Amino acid sequence: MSLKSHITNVFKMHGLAIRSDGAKYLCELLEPLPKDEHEEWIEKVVEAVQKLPINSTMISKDAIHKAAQDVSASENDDMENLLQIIDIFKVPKLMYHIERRKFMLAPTVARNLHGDAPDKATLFRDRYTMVYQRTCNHELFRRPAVGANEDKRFGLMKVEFLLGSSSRQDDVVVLGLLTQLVEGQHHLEDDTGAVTLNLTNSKFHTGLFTQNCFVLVEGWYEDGVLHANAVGLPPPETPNSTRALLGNVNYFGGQGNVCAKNVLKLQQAEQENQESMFVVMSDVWLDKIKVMEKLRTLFTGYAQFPPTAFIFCGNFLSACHGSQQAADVRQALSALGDLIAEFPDLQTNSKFIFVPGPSDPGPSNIFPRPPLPKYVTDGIRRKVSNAEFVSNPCRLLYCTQEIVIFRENIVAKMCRNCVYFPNNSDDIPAHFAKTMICQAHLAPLPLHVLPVYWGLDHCLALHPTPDLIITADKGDAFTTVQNQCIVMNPYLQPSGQPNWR
Amino acid sequence: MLADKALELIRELDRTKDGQMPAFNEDTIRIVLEEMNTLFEQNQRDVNATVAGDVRYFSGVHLRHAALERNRRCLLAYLYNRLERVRDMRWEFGSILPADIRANMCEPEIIWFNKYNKNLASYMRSLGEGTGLDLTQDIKPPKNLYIEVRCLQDYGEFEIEEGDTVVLQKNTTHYLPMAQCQHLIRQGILEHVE
Repeated sequence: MSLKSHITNVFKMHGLAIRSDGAKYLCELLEPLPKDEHEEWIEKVVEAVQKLPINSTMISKDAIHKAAQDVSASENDDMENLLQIIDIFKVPKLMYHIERRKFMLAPTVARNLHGDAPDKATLFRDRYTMVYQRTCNHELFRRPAVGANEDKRFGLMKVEFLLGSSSRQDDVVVLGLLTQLVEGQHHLEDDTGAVTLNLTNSKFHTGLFTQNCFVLVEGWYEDGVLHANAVGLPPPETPNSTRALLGNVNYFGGQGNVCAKNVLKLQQAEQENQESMFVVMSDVWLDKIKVMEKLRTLFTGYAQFPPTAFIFCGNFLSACHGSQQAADVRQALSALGDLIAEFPDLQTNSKFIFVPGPSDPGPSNIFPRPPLPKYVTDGIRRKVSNAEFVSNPCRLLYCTQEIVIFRENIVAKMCRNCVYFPNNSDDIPAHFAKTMICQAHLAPLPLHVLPVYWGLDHCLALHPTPDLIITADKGDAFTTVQNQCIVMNPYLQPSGQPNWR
Repeated sequence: MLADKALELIRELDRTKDGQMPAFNEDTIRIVLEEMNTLFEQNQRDVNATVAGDVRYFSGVHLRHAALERNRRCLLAYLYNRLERVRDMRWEFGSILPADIRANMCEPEIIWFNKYNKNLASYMRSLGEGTGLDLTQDIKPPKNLYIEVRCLQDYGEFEIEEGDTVVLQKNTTHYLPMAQCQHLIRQGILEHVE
């Protein structure tokens, strides 16, 4: 039997019909290989074809081409590329599917940078839905199983229900967006309406309660006003249970169709690379001689044991240089390139990741912000081939560890926009981390305080909670753990004393 | 009522016609599992009391145990009946499922389907002295080796086993070997003209 009819036959046995051009193409691919390996390769291609997202049993040449590529990719799979840098503009969006009652990946569509008016409404609705569904699923709010003891359970109410009731309602729990629709008057808003909120006698749980963050309000309702007894953040969900609910999909972005946590190969790689290290620095002012000296000391220290990556967060200049900014950053980065080139071990074995800061050249500070422009970076790119320029915020995937980096003075901004500032202000990092995780969003702030591209708000989402969030903030360095996620802030003091993990 | 939700699952599956695939009801299954957990915990407590000599709780334990078993039976029946449908679909649609059906299946079901597919393929290839025998074809005995078919949509070039190529254009009729155009009929590209 000729090779071609054999291929057609094998595909037929698998319930597939290969088109003649596809079979011809596969023949061409197989011809240079020894005869006894043919069988094995055909099997592999069939398996790869079945994994492709195709809708009919007719297999065209394109599908064969893709499948063959997948096969060859999985065959010469080098595990060198353990660190994936994910383009934030291409991360998938999680949407709640009402009929299926679960979160699913939204179909990938090209999204405009500047959204339409409906996108702005969708932004808040999507944020709300994510928090609302998560809260409903929490054991305190879930409808109890038959026969279970029914104390300590709450029922969430919608604002619509309150507005429609004429008598006093006691013990209501409402989840909504904390807003000021009228100046000086707080409101609680959800997807059904808004109600005036009286916060005078209320107790606040831990967390920073900023404007435009979602809160659970427990209290009583009378005459159009919701009197809050207690205000708290919606409870977080452990990342493991979120992932279990999502199923095996790649929600984080990057290559691969399945969640990296479930890939055995990556888990093994992680076990083998327990020693790997990331060096994170923020506000690396490359124009200061002292900083360059300290960097040299740092590189010398690490020269023997190159870490996986150096992460440099902007700003890369100590002051704003006006129209000279771009040229100066370019020069400063080239100088850094020269410095790195003095350490060939680092140059080849470590990655250098650059996150732009607020006053670095590039488009204005609307998030997500694209990487530094090519003009600024080509000097250092020429010297250091491992230099990667990423967006802000940015996502990294190291083996199975999900890392989110956000360069923004977010702690200060959140403290400034608080409805209620916590009494024990020593523990701001814990409050801050809790807020961020509970809101499942990097920046739960009004859009005029922290502008976000309306159509790209999902890039800032933190659902499921990642493993590490680095907020490169101007404030003090801190590391805290919240909901199995490390939230940390590195900070390079202006004196040039770096903090690293 | 105890075990009510589990029955709901079975009813839901029963309501949909054979050959249809309702969405995998993760939500209800979770509720049932939770109910089973509470039942089990309560039983555990009462059993300990019974073992310690207190016989008052005995009938309660029995009732809960019955509910637990009923829940388990319902869940297993739900899963098994779905699997049977998945299997039937392999014979009906071939190895690539339509996207809407695929969306209604859960992850393990898709894995099971792929494995079933593989097993079936390797079995079919072991038949017929090395050439393989496609069992999914000719489920009803064919009356004729060649049949007349009409094209319902533009398909393009189609190669039959003898090496001839036929261009299948919309609204043309052809006289083709039954064995080779059967999958096209199943896909709705060709129509059998009686």
